[in-house]
Amino acid sequence: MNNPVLKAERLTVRYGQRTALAGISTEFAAGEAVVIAGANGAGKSTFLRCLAGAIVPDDGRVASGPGLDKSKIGFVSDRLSLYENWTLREAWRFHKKEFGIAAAERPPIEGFTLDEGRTIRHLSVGERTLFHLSLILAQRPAVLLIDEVVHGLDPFLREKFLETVIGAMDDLKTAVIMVNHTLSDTAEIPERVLIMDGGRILLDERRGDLTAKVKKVAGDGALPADLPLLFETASEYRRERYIYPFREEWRRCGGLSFMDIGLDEIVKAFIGGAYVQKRAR
Amino acid sequence: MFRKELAEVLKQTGWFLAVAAVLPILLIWLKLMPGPYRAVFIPVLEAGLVCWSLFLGASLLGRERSQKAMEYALTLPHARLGLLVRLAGARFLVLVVLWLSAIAVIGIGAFREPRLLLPALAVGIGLPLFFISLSLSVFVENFIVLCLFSIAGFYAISAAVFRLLWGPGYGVVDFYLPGLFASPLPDVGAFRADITPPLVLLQIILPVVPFIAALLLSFGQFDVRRSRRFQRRYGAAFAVGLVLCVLASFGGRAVSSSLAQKYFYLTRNLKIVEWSFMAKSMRIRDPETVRKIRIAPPILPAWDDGSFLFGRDNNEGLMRVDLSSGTADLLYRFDFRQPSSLMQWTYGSTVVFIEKKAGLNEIQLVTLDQKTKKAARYVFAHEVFRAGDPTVIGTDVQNGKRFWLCLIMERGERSTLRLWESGRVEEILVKGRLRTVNTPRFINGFLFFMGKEPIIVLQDNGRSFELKKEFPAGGIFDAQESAFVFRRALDDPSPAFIHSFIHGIRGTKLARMNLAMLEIEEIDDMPETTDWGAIQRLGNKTYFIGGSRSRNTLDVYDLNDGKVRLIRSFPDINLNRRDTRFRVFDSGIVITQGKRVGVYAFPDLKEIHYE
Repeated sequence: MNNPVLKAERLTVRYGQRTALAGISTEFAAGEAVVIAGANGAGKSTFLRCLAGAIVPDDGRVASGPGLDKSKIGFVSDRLSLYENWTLREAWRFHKKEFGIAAAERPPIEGFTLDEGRTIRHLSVGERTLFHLSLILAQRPAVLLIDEVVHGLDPFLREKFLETVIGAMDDLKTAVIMVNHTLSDTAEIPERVLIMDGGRILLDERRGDLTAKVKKVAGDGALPADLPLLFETASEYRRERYIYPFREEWRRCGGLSFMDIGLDEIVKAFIGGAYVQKRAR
Repeated sequence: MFRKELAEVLKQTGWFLAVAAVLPILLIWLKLMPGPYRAVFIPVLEAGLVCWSLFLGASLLGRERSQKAMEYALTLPHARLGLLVRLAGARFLVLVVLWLSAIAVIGIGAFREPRLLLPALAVGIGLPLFFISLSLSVFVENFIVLCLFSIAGFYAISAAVFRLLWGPGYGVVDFYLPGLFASPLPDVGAFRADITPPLVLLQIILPVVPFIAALLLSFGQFDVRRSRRFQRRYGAAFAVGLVLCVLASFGGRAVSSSLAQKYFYLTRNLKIVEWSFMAKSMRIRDPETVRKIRIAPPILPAWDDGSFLFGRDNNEGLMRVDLSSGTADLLYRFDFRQPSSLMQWTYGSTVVFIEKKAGLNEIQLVTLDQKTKKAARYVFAHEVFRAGDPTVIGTDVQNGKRFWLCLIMERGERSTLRLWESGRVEEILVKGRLRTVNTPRFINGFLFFMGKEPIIVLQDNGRSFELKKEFPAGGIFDAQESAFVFRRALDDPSPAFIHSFIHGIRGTKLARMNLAMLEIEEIDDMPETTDWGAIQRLGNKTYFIGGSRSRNTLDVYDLNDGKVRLIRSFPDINLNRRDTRFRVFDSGIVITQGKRVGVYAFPDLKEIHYE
C-alpha cells in the first residue's frame, strides 16, 4: 500500500496473562472504509483502541502517515467516553479548544438536534452516539475509528449515523475503520474486511474478492472431500455449509449448487468456523 | 485541558474553603472545640490544607474515572506527558496559591498567628503528600486505599530518609542553646543556618523522588488498562528513584558531616566541649588533654555543673555526661506525646521543667533529682495554660513549702502564677491585673516587672505578693531581657549571695538599680564605639558586651563597682563575616570565626589555649 494513513506494526497487547492482540500488522489507506469483524474477545476493540491511542501496545507500534497528527484521528468508542457531567455546550467548547477546531458550530447531523444545556449523562445511548460523532466530525478527521456503536441506535438514527459517516468519507476523504458485528445495515460501506480471531487477523480481503470467494452450498448433498469447507451448521430445520476459498470451476461440477451470500453471512461463517476450530482444539 | 482542570479544581477548592470556614462554627457550637472562632479556624485550616493536598494529588484521574472519560482523555491530541503536566500542573498551581494565601492570611492578615505552622506544614507534609498521592493515583483507584497508601508511603520513606540522612543527629532546631548570644547583633548566633537548609531540603525532596521518577518515566505507557509494561516501568523507575534517594541520603549525610558546623560549649571549669549535629562523638578539651567520647545519638549541651554536662538527645532523653570519664547516662525520658518545654532549670540538685498535660488548661511540672533520678510530678490547672507557653522563672520555699514562679507568655502578654507544691495555683496580680506587658524577674524575694512600661516591684509577704514600689513613668529601665535567656540555676547565685544591683540600659546610659533602696542610678554613657550591646549577669558579676558592625568593634566591659571599665577588645574579629559566632558562658566567652576558635575566661578574659 502506498502512503498508508495509519500503519499497525506487530501490535501485541496483553490483559494479564491473556493475549488480546498477538502481533498484528496491517495498513490503512486514506479514504478507505474498513470493517473489522470477529467473535467476541477476538481483539477488535483493543485493536481500535491501539489505533486511537487509548491503549499503548505492549509491543509493536502504530505509525501515522505523513501529516497525520493525533487531532486528525477521531475515535467513537463503544463506551462513548466523554465527561458525563458536562453539558453538551461545555463538551463542545472543550473539544473545540483541545482539537483546535475553527468552526463556530458543530457540524449538524440532519434530523438530529439536542438541547445544548442537557448533560451528557442524561442523553440516551443513541443521542450520545450521534453527539459524539458530531464532535468527532468537527475535527475533520483523516481517520475515523468507530467501535460497535451502530447497534445502539434506532433504525432512523442508525441511518442518519451511517449517512453522516458516508458523507464524511466523500467530503473529507476520511478513512473509516469500523468494528461491527451486524453488517446488514453497513454492508455497502466497507471496501475491505478484516476478520479477527484470537488476537490475530484471520482474513484481510477486499469486499468484492471476499464475496467472490465465499459461497454457500445449496441443498443437502454430500460434498467432495477436496472442497474447502469453511463452516457447517445443521439443525432440525436447516443445514448450511460455506465454502472458502471458492473457485468458479466448481460450479460446473454436477450435483452441487453454490449461492452468493451477503457480507453479514460471510462474517457469520468465518466466526462460526473459528468457533468450530476452537472447539476442535 | 489545563484550563478545564484549573476551573474544576478551583470549584472544588471553593467548597473546601467554605467547609473550612463553617466547620469551626460547628465545632464550637457542638462544644467539640472551645472558641473563639479564630482559635478553632487556624488548626482546622492547617489540618484541612494537609488533607486537601492529599486529595488534590489523589484525584488526579478521579474525574476521568468517575465520569468514564478516561478513553476520551487519552485520545486527546496530547502526548501522555503533556496530559500529565496539564492535569497535575493545574492542581499544583491551585495548591501553591492556596497555601500561600493561607500563609498570607494567617501570617500577616486578620488571623495573624505568631506560631505560624503553615509554611512548615506546606513544605514538610502538604506538598510531599500531594506528589506521592499524585503518583500512586495512576495505580490505585479506590480513593481511601490510595490515601492510606500515600500516607504510609510518605511516612515510611520519610522515616527511612530521616534515619539515613540525619543518622543519630538532630532533626530539630533548638533555639535555646546555652550561651547563644541573643543580642540585637544580626547574624551573630545565626544558629545552624549554614548547615541545616541543604539537609532539610533533602529531607523534604528525597522521599518524593521515587514517586515522581516513577510517574514521569512510566506515564508515557499509561493507558486504560495499566498494562504490565506500564507497571514494570513504574516499578523499575520507582526502584531506581529509591536507590538514588538512598545514595543521596548517604551522600548528603557524608557531605554534611564533613562540612558540619562545629559548636562549642564552655563548662564552668573551662573545659571546652566540641560537638556537631551530625557527629557521633564529642570532644572534651582542657588546656592539657583532649578526650573523645562516643555518644549516639549526640546530645545538645544545655548546662553543666563542672562535673557533669546535661543536655537533651533527639530521642526525648535528658542525658548526663560525666566530664571526667565521658560516660553518659539517661536522667529522664520525656513523654513525646506531651510537648514538653525545651527549657530545663535547676536549683540545688533538682532539675525542673514543664510538660503540657493532655488537658487543655493543665500543665505538669516535673522536678527531677539529678542524683537519684527520681521524678516528682505536680499538675496545675489554670485558664492561662490553655494557649500560653509556660516557663519557670524562680523558686523558693515559704514556711517549709516549695513554690515555683511560672511565667506564661501569650501574644505579647505575660501572666505570672505561683505554683505551690500542694497543687494550689496563686495568681500574681499587678495593680489588680493578671496580664502584664512587663516581664517579671524574681530576685531577692522581689518580683520586678520590667519592660516597656514603668517598673513595678512586688514583694513576697509569705502569703501573697504585694506592691512594694511603682516607679514613675520616666523610670523605664531596660534590664536586657535577652540577658536572662541564658541558662542559669534558679538559685544562682547561691542563696547566701544577695544581689545588690540590677544593671540595665536607660536611654543612652548604662544604669543600675540599687536593690536595697530600689532606686535607679546612672553609671555612665554607653561606650562610644558601641551601636548595640547587652548586659550579662554572671554570678555576682555584671558585664556589658557591646560592639559596632560599622566600626567593626567588639568590646567587653566590667560594670561592677559602679563604673564602666573596658576589660578586653577583640579588634581581630570581623563582625561582618557571617560565620562569626559569639557565645557567652558562665566561665567565659567563645568566639568562632571560620576555623578559628577563641576561648576567653572571665574575669579578665585572658585567652586560654587548648590542646
